[in-house]
Amino acid sequence: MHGQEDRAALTWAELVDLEVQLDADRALSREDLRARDSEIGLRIARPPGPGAARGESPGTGAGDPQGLARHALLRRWLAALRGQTDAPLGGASPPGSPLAETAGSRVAHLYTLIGRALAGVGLLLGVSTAAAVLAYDGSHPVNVVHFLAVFVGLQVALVGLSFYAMRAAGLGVVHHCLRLAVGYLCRRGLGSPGLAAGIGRWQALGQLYGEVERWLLFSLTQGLGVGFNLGALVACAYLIATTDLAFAWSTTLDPTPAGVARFLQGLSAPWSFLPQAVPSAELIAKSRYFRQAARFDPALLKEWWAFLLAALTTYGLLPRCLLWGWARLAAARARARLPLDHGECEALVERLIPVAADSGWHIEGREAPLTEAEPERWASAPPGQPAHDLADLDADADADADMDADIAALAPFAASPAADRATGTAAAGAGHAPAAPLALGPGAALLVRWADAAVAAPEAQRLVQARFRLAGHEGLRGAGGKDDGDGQGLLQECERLPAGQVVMVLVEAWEAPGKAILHFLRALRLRAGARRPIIVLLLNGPVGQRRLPDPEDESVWSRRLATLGDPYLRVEPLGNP
Amino acid sequence: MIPNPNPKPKPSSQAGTAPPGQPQDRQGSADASAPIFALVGRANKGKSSVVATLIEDDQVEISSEPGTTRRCHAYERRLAGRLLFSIVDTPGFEDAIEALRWLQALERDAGDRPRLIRAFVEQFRGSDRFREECELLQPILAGAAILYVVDGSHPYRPNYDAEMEILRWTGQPRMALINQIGTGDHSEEWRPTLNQYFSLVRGFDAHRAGHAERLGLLRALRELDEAGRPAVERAIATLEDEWASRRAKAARRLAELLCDALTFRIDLPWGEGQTLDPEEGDRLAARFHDELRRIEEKERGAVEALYQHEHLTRHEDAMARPLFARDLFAAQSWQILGLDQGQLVRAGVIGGAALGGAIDLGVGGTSFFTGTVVGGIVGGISSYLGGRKAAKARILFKELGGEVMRVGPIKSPNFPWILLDRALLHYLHVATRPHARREALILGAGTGPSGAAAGGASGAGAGKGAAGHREGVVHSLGVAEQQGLSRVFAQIQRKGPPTPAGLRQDLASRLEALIVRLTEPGPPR
Repeated sequence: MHGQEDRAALTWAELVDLEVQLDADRALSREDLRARDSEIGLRIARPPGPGAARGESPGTGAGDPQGLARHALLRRWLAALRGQTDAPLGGASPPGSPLAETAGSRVAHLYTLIGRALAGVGLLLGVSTAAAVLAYDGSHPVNVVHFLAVFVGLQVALVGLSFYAMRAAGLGVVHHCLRLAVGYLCRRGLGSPGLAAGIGRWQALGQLYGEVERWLLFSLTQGLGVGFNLGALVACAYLIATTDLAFAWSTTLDPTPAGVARFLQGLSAPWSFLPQAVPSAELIAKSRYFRQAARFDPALLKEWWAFLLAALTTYGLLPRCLLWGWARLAAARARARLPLDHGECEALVERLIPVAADSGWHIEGREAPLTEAEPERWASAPPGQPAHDLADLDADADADADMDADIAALAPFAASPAADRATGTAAAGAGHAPAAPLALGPGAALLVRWADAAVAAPEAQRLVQARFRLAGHEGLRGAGGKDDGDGQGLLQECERLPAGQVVMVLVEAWEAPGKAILHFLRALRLRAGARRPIIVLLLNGPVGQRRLPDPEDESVWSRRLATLGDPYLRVEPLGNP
Repeated sequence: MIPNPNPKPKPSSQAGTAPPGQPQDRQGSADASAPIFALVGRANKGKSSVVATLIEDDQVEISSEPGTTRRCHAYERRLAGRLLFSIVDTPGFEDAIEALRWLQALERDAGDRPRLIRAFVEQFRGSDRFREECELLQPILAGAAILYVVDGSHPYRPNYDAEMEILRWTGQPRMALINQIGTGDHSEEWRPTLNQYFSLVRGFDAHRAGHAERLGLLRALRELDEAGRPAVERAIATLEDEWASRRAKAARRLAELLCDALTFRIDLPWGEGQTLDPEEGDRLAARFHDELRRIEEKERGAVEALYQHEHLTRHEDAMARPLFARDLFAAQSWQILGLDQGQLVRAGVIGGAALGGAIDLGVGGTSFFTGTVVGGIVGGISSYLGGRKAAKARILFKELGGEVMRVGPIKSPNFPWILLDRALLHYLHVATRPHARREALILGAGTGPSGAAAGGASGAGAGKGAAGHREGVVHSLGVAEQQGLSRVFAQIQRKGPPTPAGLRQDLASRLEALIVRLTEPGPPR
């Protein structure tokens, strides 16, 4: 039913919609989100394409096939939300209508308007510049040097600057300055924690979508350039056709005509197949102009026009058109390459899948859950043993063929490009899994206990196993506690972690997140890699009676950690409702 | 505890703020003997709540967001222009383990520790690293005694040792307060560790502590530092006197309310032969009610100001409702406040009998106590009938010579009791309410005084709150108290406005005695 759409990356408008919806979801309770998304998950669980369930690429050939599969899943999710009147994306538009009246469509429309406005401004600028450069009252010919300086030299320089700007940090500098400003205000009691969290989230978005954003802005500027050159070309052509322009070249310097001829003929190399547009040595020699002498042959001097138009087209219009097209293409490719595997997206995908997991269906590429009611079995498993070995004990879980096919279809969605190493097949446990989990890593997580949190390794492993279905945990490290030292050993260990392995930090939810944990998480990010999933797990209640943390505590942690601007860091409660 | 180092003038206020370590008196000169306490601890452990409760200031910023307190704020407790003590609210420890690690790396011997603390502050002051630790240590280095706050509703963790150790290194007098933010109670888990680092450990629930608990804490602080003991004792004595003075003033306010409301009436010029149409009657009724409500509101505001709850948000069922029988809620309100039918009849019988007895005495006993018997019967019947009428109260309209339309006063025998009950409920809530509590004060059905009077008030047989029971205070007063008040109410109603000063004073004295009994603290902990 989705076919072609499932093969394409999310559009710019859909990406905006996605983030708007994720932002709005922060105001909802986890229970509400889970109920909504698990229901949507069941509805949209159709195979994205003929080879998707087998792991073949359903895509366009660009980007990672699993990444595109995730794009398709999120597109279906957005489409499903648009049909719900109580969702931010819904209401104004009828179900299934393409992006009408959504934040993304408005942003995309605005972007189009800005693009057209910039092109229009460029057009006017080009016309007026050409009119100024080609101003001719019959007393003195138009100086070719001026024309080349403005329409060739300056434009080449601007194209060079554009390339430089693309290589520079660009918007990252803006984000960094804003963060410094907010930090300064907060230190002086002028900024609010909410503002700092908002800036942090914006910064995180910058990290995620900075590449797409940069190319989009680049294409906008190139649109301006195309408009400028088009305007200049049209104006030049009009003036040449409707007036008796005479061209000459004039300079205070004393170049030899032969040298000028070599330069201009070199400049004309791209259109050398048009001899009438290449100035001859004779023309160059005879069209040198001294205002004091004021002697020239107007008929001869007209011969420059073809060269000038060719130069404007070749060095002005053509590069801008190429850059504009390249920017559009690069933006599309950047969109297609988006892994969409940051913390909130991962949580969303987890919510979309769990229906099956909770029901005990068989999910390809996922580990089996253990429940809190099964500590003995976990305790009997040797450390590092893969989850499916344990889960085999649950092999009597029901298997409904139709449902299984649906869930299998979701498998490619589940895996992000970062988590490209999920292997094996495991049966889900029959017990209660509080939330649904996905392949967060290759089946192992590094567990860190923060600030003497009262949790022992077996319990931590059991809780994480029940919640995330991750097996093969590597014990429990300590950080921020009385006897944990400076944490350098742990950070070095994180540097050596295999790609995609998750780091989970267990904290006690009632302890306010202080600077110490912010420093630790920053250091962890630096050492563990920019895209390694880091999950801060909030514990509450005494050992053996873990319950979900107070929503206010959870909110405090979310806001404080959001100030880090780390898109791959997320906060999750751990415990029974 | 230290003398104040830098005297500076500051705006006058009863509980003001000043730069940390610099309390000044109202006249602008420093009170050299006033002690200074620095409240320290980790973020979100209720330091600001403790400050608000101790100095009775509902303007102290309290937030669940960690790191709200970024700078030290000194709050002063003043009375009559005299500075009693200052409390410095400080930012929370953010990275005590690293700070202690830095200190320990440089430590040579125990005698070196206070110097190292100073060096630490010098080293990191102005930088982002250890900014909070530097900020909170500054008032302590200036000589403030330490009040270390932990949250006893959550368990102790070993990483707290680092901040306790840093505080110990300062060498200043130290006391630990186990605050209760949540519902759990892990106080006993904390005590063994706290006892090792602090000379005094005490429980203090900033969201429940009343006057008695505040004084109890001050009494404990006397023991913290011998040098500061006289100043703390002076502060305690002053606060006790002031508390008694507040009660007397509050009683006078309550008496004024009752006198004004019981005798309140509206007189309107009225044309001869002019009739009262229903619409005009409703308008008059509404006006009468609005004026009564204004009188009550004035009393509420005055009592709140007395107890420094000027910014309190209050939700109270308007008195209008119980007064008009057409409102269903009115009937319910009249059933849960004031006296019940039996008590009203009893009060009427006693009052009537007393009157009849006076007649008997007047005739030298020749009436063979007929006056007492008849007076008691008449009083009982009228109270019974009046009490029933009260439940569907109506406004009385009375023409005087066809020229004045008089609305009121309300003659129902239960009206003064309901008025008093409402006022006492409000008083008990306000007088016992810690200033750390920021939620709105909700008064009405189901908000009996048992919660408000917890701690300070013994309950005094306060209402039961369950459906079908009276929730007020007056219902549970002793017979003698009810009789005495009933007599005064009857006199006030009989004499009309203005109430004679002697009667007002009599009522105020009775109410003060009642308030004292209701709020009498138990023995000091």
